[in-house]
Amino acid sequence: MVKKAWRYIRVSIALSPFCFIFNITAIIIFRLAQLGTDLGLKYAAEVILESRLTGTRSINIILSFVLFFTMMTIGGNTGNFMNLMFTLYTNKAKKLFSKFFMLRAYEEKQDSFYNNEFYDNYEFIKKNIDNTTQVNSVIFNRLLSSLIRLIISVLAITYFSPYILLLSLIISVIVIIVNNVIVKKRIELDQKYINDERRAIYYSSLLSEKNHARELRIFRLKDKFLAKWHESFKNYADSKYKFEKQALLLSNIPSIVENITTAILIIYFLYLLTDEVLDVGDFVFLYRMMWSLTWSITGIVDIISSDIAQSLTYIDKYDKFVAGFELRKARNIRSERVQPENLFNKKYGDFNNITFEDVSYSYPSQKGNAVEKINLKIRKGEIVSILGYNGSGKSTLSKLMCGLLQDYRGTIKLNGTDISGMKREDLYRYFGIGFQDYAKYSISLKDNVAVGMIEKLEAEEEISEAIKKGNLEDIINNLPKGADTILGKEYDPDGTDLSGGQWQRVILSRAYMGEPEVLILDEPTASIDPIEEMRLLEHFDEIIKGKTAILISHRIGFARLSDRICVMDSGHIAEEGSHEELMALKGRYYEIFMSQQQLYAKEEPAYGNEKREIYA
Amino acid sequence: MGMKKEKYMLEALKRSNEIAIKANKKAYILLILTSIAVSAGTFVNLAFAEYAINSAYNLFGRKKDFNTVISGVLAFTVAILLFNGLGLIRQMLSNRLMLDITYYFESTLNDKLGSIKWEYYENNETFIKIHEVRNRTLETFKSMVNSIIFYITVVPTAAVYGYYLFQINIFAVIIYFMLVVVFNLMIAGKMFSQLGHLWEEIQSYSHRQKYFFNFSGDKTTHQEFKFNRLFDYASNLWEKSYDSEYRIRLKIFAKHEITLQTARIIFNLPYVSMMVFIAFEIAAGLHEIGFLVMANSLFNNIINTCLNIQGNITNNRIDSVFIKAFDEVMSYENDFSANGLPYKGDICLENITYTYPHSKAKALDQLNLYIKRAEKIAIVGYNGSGKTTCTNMLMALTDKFVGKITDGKKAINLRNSISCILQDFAQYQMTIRENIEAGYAGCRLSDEEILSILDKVGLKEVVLKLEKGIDSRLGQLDEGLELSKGQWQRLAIARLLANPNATIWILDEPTAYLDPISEIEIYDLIYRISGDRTVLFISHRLGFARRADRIVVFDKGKVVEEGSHDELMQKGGIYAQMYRIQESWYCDKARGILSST
Repeated sequence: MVKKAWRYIRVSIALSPFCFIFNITAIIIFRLAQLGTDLGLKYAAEVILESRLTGTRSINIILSFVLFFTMMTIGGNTGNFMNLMFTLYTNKAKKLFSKFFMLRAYEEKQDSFYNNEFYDNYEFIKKNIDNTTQVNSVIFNRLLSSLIRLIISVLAITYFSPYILLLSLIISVIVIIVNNVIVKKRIELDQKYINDERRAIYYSSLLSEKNHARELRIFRLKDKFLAKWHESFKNYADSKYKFEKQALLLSNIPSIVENITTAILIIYFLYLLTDEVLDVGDFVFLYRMMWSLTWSITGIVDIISSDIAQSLTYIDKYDKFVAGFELRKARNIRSERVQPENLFNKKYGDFNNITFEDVSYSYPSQKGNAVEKINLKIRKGEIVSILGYNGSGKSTLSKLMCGLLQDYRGTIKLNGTDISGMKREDLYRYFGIGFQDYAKYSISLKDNVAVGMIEKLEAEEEISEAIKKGNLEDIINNLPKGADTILGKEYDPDGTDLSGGQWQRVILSRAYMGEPEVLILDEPTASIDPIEEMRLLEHFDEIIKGKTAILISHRIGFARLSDRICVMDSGHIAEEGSHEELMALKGRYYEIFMSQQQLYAKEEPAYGNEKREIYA
Repeated sequence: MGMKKEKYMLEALKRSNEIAIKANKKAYILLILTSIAVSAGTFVNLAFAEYAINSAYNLFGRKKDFNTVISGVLAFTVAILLFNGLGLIRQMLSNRLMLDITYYFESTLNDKLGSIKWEYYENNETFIKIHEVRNRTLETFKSMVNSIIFYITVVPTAAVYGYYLFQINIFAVIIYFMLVVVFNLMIAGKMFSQLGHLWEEIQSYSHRQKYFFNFSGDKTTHQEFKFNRLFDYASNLWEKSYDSEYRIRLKIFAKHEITLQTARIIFNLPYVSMMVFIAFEIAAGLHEIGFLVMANSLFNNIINTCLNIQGNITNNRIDSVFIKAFDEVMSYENDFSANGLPYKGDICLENITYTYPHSKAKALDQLNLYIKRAEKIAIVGYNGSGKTTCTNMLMALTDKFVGKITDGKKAINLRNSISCILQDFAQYQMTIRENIEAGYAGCRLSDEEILSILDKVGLKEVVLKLEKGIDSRLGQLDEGLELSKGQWQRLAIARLLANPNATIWILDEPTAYLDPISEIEIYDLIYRISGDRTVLFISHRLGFARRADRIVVFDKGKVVEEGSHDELMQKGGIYAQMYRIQESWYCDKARGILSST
C-alpha cells in the first residue's frame, strides 16, 4: 500500500515540480524561523541579564527583539497558507486523477454497475476523489513539517543532553499503542452500529421528505415512525457515547506521560544548570524546545495512526478501481478519444439485421435470469414491438441488443458478425434509444437533444430536424431563452423545469437525433393520458415509416402499430408474430387482448374469475 | 444592515442557549463550570513558565536550593495534571451535552416536520427552507453552544491575563488594550466579513464543477451516459468549471492570506513593543527574567484569544441565518388532527377553487361535485385537469381553498374516514407486516388478518414461501428482499385494505404497474369488497370506468361531464372521445386505425 501511495505522490510531484519545491522550501523556512524565534528569545534573555548586571541600558535588547519580531513574522505560517501551497501544488495532479477516474468509469462495462459491491465502491471513490491528492497534504504539509520540527528540537536538546532520544522513544511508543487501540475500537463500533444509524436516518427521512408527506398524514403515521426513529437513535447513540468516554480516558494516558517526562526533563536541565553546564539563556531555549518536542511527537503519532491510514486505504481503492494509474494515458485522454475521421464510417456496413441466438442474461447481485434462451431476428425496415409487464425482461432485451450489457451467454450478431468483438462505440452508433429511466441533464434544451448523437453536437440542421420530429417547438417558444435555456435548477437558478410530459418529448427528440438506423423506444408514454398518447402515436407512425424500430411497452396500443409483436414473460419470448397470427394462436396475447376487448364490449362483459398469481 | 445582523446573532445565541438547557440542563451547567475552571488553568501554565525560568536564574546565581526548586516543579506538574483531569471531565461533559442536543433537536424537528401541514411541502420556498434546516441547523446549534461557553470562559481568561498585565506599567497596558480593541473591532472585523462573502461566491462554482463530475448520474442513468458516448462532452464541461473554480479559489486563498498576515502583523506590533518594554523593566530590576518568557506566552495567548473571538463572531453571524430558518419552520402551522367516528354520508363540494403555491394557473376552478354515500365514482381527465388535486382536498390535506366541503349543511373533515392508494405509493423499507399495518395507524393486525389481506391481493403464496414470512424485511436498507414494482403495488393495495373502518376509499391509478389480467382481478376485488363504502378511483384505463355508478370528467379544474357510461357516450364529449380511442385498440382493424379516428 505504501508503495502505491508513493507512486501517486511521485506523480503529483512530477506534474508541478516547481510548486512542490516551493512548498517544501516554505515548510523548511517556517520551521527554521520558528527555531529563530526561540533563539531570539534566548539571545534576548542573555542580553537582558547582562544589561541588568552591568546596569547599562543596552541597545542590544532592541536588536534582539527586532530579530525576534522578524523571525516571528516569517515563521507565522497560517493554515490558510498551507492550503494555498497545497492547492497550487496538487492542482494538476488532482485534475488528472479525476479525469482518469471518469475515463475508467466510462470504459467499464455497464454490467459491473449492477454489481452492488462494485457500485458502492465506485460511489465511495467518486465522493472522496479529493483524497487522491490528500495524501500529499498529510505527508508533506503535516507529517514532514512536524518531522522537521521534531528533528530540530531533538538536535537542539541533544546538543545539551543525549538522553532526550531515549525519552522521546518511550513517549512515542506509548502514544502509538494507545492510538492503535482507539482506532481499532472505533472501526469495530462503526461496523456494529451502522445499521442502527442508517435506520435512524431512514426514519427521519420518512418524516421529513416530500414524497412521503401525503401518506404520512392520511394514515397518521407520524407517531409510529417517530417511535421507531427514537429506538434506532438511542441504540447507536448510547454505544457511541460509551465508546467516546473510553477513547477519552485512553487518550489521556499519553498526555499524562508527556507531562511527567517534561517535569523530569526540566529537573534534569536544572541539575545541569547547577553544574554550570548550561546558563540561563540556554535554559530558556531548552524550555521552549521541550514543549516543541512533545507537541511534534503527539502530532506525528496522530497523523500516522489515523490520517495516513485513511489516505492510504483510499489510494489503494482508487488504484484498484482504475487498474493502475498511467500518467501518459491520463495526459493524452483527449487525443485518444476524439477522432472525427472515423466517426461516421459504419465499420460493419449499413444495418441489415440483428440476431439473438440462445441468449441468456442474469444481472449481478440478482438471482435468476432476467432473460433466458432468447432467439430473435430483427430485419431492416421491421417495426417490432416487445410487449411485457414488469419483470418480463423487455428492457434487458433492448440493452443486450445495443451492446450495453456484455456478460451474456449465447451469441448476438449484427449483420452476421458477432458483436462481442466490436468496439462498443461503433456498435452504439447504429442505435438511437429513448430510455425508460431517461436522464435529465442540466444543460440547454438544444444540447439535451443533441446528446442523442454526440458526434453531431454542432450540426444545427440535424438538431432542428430532431426537434421538429419530437414536436418541441411549442415548448421552446415558452422558454425564456428558447432552445438555449438551461433545463433544471441544479446549479443555475435561472434554469427552467419541464413537466414529465415535456421531458418525454425531449427524450424522443434525443432518440430521433441524427437519424439512427435502428430506433429503440422503451416505454415512451409512461403516464401520458390517452389523448396525448394518441397524438404521439400518430406522429410516431409518420416518423418511423420505412425505418427499423423496436417499441417496448406494456400498452397494447403500441403493439398494434408494429409489423411483429414479441410477447415476453419471465424472461422468455412467449409468443411471436403479427397481431393476426397471435390472435389466431389463442395464447397469452389473445388472452390479454380479449380480456381488454371485453371490457370495452357493447354487451355486459364477463370478467375473469380465476385467480392467478403473478410471480414477477 | 449591520445592526440587523447583530440582532440575529444575539437571537441565535439565545435560542442555542435555550436548546442546551432543554437538552440537558445539568450537563450544560456543569460544562460551563468546568470550562471556567479549565480556562483558569492557563494561569498554571503561565505561572509554571515564570517559576521555571526564575528558578533557573536563582539556581545559577546560587540564590536558591536545588531541593526547594524540585518540589516547586513537582507541585506545578501535579497542578497541571489536575487541570488535565479537569479538562477530561470537561470533554466528557461536552460529548454528553452534544449528544443530548442532537437527540433533542432531531426529535423536536422530526416531530414538527411530521406534524406540519402538507402544503409546506408543496410550496417550493418553504420546502427549501425545511431542507436547509434539516441539513445545517444541528451543526449550527452545536457550534453556537460551544461559542457561548467560549465567550463565558473569556471572562476568567481575561482575568488571568489582567492579573499579569497589571504587573506591567499601567499606562502601557492601557495603550496596549486600546490598540487591541481598535484593531480587533475596526480592521480585523471588516477583513474577515469580506472573506465570508468570497467563500459564499465560490459555492456556485463548486456546485457546478461537482455537477459535471457527477454527470453520469446513478447506475440507471449511467447507461445513457455510456451509450451516448458523452465522456468527452461531460469531461470538457467539467474541466472548464474545474479551472474556473481553481482560479477563484486561488484568488480567495491569496486574499485570505493577505488578510490573515496583515492581522497578524497588526497584532504582533503591540505585542513586540510590550516585550521590549518589559525587557527594559527587567533590566532595570522591576521584574525577574521569568516574567519575560511568561509574557511571551501571555501575549501569544491574548492574540489567539482575540482571533478566536473574532472567528467565533464571524461564524456566529453567518450561521445565525440557519437558526432563524429553524425558528420559522417551528412556527409553521400544524395539521389538525381529526377525531371522531368515520363519516358516513353524502359529500358536497361547493365552488372549490384552489391554486398551488407559486403557481399561476388554478388547479381547481369553481369545482362543484356531489358524491352520494356508497357511490362508486370513476374520475377521468387529461393530465393536469385537477383530478389528484380534488382528492387532495377531500383528504383534507389543506384548508387553503375557497369554497366548502360539506355534508349538505355543515362543513365536514374527511381525514380520518379515508383510506387510499396514491399514484406514487410508498415502498417502506420495513417488514411486510409493517408495510400493511402502515394503513391502520395504532393497530396491530393478527397474523391471520394479514395473511387474509395478502391473499386478497394475490401475494399470499409468494409470502408463505419466504423464510420469515410476513416478518421478512423489504428494500435495500437492511439488505432485505427486493420486490418488483407490481408486487409493491399489490402491497400498497393491501395497505388500503388494512383499515376496516375507513368509509371512503380513494384509488389513484392503482394498477399502473400491473398487467391487464391482474388489473381485472384487482378491480374485481375492489368492487366486490367495497360494500357500502364510497369509492373514488382515478384511472386512464377507461374499461373499468364502465362499471362505475357514475363517471366524472375533469377538465381545467372543473367537472365538465358527469353521468353513467351510456349517458356520456350519448353526449359525445371528452369521455366519449377518449373511450373510443381506447376501444379502437381492441377492434379488429389493421394498422390504419389511427387515421380513421
